[in-house]
Amino acid sequence: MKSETKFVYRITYTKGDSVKYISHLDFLRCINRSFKRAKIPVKYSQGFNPHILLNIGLPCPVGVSSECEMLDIELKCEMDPALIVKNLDDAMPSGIKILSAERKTNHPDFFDIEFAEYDITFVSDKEIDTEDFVNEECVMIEKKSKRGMKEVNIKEFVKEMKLESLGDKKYALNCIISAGNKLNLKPDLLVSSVANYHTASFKDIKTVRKKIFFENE
Amino acid sequence: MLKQQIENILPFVEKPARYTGGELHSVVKNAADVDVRFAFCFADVYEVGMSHLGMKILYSLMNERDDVWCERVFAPWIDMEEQMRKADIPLYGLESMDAIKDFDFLGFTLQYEMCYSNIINMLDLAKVPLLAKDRGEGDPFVCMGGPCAYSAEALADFSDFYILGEGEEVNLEVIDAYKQWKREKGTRFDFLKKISQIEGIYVPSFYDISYNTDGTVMAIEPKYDFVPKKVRKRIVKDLDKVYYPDKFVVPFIEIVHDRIMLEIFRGCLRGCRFCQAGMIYRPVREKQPGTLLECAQKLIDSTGYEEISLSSLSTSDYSCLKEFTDGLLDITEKESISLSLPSLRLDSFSMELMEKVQKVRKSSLTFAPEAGTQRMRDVINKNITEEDLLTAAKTAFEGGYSSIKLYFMMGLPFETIEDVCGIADLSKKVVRQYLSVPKEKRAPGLRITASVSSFVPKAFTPFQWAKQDDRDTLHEKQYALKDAMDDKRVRYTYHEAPVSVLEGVFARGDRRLSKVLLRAHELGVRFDGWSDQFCQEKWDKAFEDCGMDILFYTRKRPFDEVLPWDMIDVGVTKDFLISEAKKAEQAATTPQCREKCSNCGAMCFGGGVCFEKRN
Repeated sequence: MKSETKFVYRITYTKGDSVKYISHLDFLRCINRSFKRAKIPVKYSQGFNPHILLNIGLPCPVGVSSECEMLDIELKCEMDPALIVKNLDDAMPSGIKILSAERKTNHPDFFDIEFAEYDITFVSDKEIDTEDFVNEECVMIEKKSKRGMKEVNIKEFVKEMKLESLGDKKYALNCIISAGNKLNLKPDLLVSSVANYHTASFKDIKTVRKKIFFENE
Repeated sequence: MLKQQIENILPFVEKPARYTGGELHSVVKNAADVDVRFAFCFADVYEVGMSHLGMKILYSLMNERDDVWCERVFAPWIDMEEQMRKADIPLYGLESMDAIKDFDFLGFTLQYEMCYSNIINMLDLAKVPLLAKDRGEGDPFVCMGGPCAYSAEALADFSDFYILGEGEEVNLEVIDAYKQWKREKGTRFDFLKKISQIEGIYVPSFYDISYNTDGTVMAIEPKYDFVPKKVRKRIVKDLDKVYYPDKFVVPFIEIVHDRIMLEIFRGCLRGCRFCQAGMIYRPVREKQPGTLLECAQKLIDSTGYEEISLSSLSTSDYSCLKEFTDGLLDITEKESISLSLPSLRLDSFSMELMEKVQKVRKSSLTFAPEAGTQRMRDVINKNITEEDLLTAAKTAFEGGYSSIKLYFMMGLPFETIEDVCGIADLSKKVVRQYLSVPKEKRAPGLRITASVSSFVPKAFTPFQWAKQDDRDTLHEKQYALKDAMDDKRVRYTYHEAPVSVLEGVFARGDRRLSKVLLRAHELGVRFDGWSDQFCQEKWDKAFEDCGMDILFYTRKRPFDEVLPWDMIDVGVTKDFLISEAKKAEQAATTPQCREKCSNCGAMCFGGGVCFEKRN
């Protein structure tokens, strides 16, 4: 059977502060309407309730802004990527900025997302040591899984992390942690785990997703 | 800075996107570049307030001006209020996240009486003095508009002024007067004096109300000679030329009416005697199909919405309905968006139209016979016969519908228990219509819902003098109807009687209720329109503490009693309302405006249906 030509585009974009509290479902609806406003010829699924053929790579946790979001969208026909970027960006709410669009060729699949990098800043209620937690081999935490709460070693989810004091009890945490379908860790869990480890409490927590890593990359 | 403080509490509330703004087409300006900052306040949660068409219109209209910045403010839900109070965050505008106490105007729209306690709570959260008399230089002016403003005396102590009627013109006149007053460096009194000269502006503190020993109003006297004895509402004479936004703010979260709303006309021809909207929005004024189609296309392009809905009090009465819906269906089919048609009458054209629109899934249909017997429908001047309803129901069942919702009221004037039980009879007749359609021709899963609300007499209707049933009477009628509803295929739902009674108190209240509202606020009431939040005990205590009696406000009033809202003129005259009230007692009906003019008084506005040529 001859395979039909598909016009799938990979689009990268950022999510700013003003849209970081939008839930995933609401965000999908927003993207949907944006394509409509941009008059980009998206392809619809067959069936009773047709929907656009959209795949959001790694849903961004609520409260987290991002510099590296990705989505795949299937169009009815070929379209100039520069025009996609322009039209879609014009149609987006101000908190979302379209960075690039490329016809999907040998791009890695979202299924193969392995890690995500985050920059996190917070203010602690007391001074904390920047090395202790980082050097620990094992820190057990309660983590929600499909079968209820489970005790796991959070360090198994952390590929790299660096904690830095910015003075005045303000800290910066850079980390690369498991993300995607196989293993996944939400960054706020790591932050609360650091806080618990030091019996401290953190506020003014700001989390930015910096980069997404694929397997074998 | 407020923004950071707000961000700190958002992780602890549900639906944080209610409180962050940033939606498509929300308007952000530089505060330093504008002369007037206006907070458009809706005293309910974001999802409810964002569904309100009036806000969409006035928000866009004001923001068209470079010298004005209008922002949106909604009532924070209980969890957010708790966090805000704990962190000492004042109520803020969604666009700038600046505290609204520093704005020039706080404008509340009064859509229903049960939001009044939220208004007091919002003023409190905003850290604005609750009572108008306590506000001084530097405090914002608190104004109120919307359908309840015609008889919102209960809020008189909290309101600096009311804006009566349609806001498109008068709001801008008030803003111009404000800028002039600022240049003149006048006092608050000077400003109120200035705007009291604008038609449609009612300044409650400019009137003295005296009372008889029995508690009724003795007289309403203007305090100064520059104050009009009666304030007439404003309307937009030529609706086809009126401003209509070509963009709506598109929310991130799902709101109650999450779609494009296209206003096709204002006013209603019908004159149902219980209906306040049918009286206060007179006269009927329509927009041209061409204007509407152009507007629809612009809104589809700018919002990306997947649904469009028509807005009016009675869609079927739009004189160019066929031409317009043909044009609109062309657009909606091309853009693959769905069209919804609320407020259709039970005629054959409407049924055909429904058929055209509902191409795919047949959902539920809603009919509003309002009363169970013909006599009662004549009393309220609801010109629908039983035959109309049963024919429409049968057509619907034959057309593949299996679910019909019926709206009724109980507690109407001159109602007997037979009229109440007539609701059950009529509902059962609708069931029989379904059964009369052959099994192979009808859709399975019959579902008839009879939703019965309690009638609340409203100001500026022929029933404004009527006695409202008390809680016990309503309960008795509700139980009698429950017994009469002996068919399991009819689902029967009714409203909580205490809420309806309180609504009735504020709908026909005087300004002495302001102190009850204040007391109830101190006792912690808010979100009274949400049945899980409504607290009858607190309200009872507030009335008791203030020495006020609920029954005083729900009693029958004689035609010659001075009504607390007699300083307001909505166009429709008291003489007309009295004659309608008398006809109601005789169960005599009144024809609709296009059949025969009944001289209601709305002709004084010099436009609309009153001046249409009749064949």
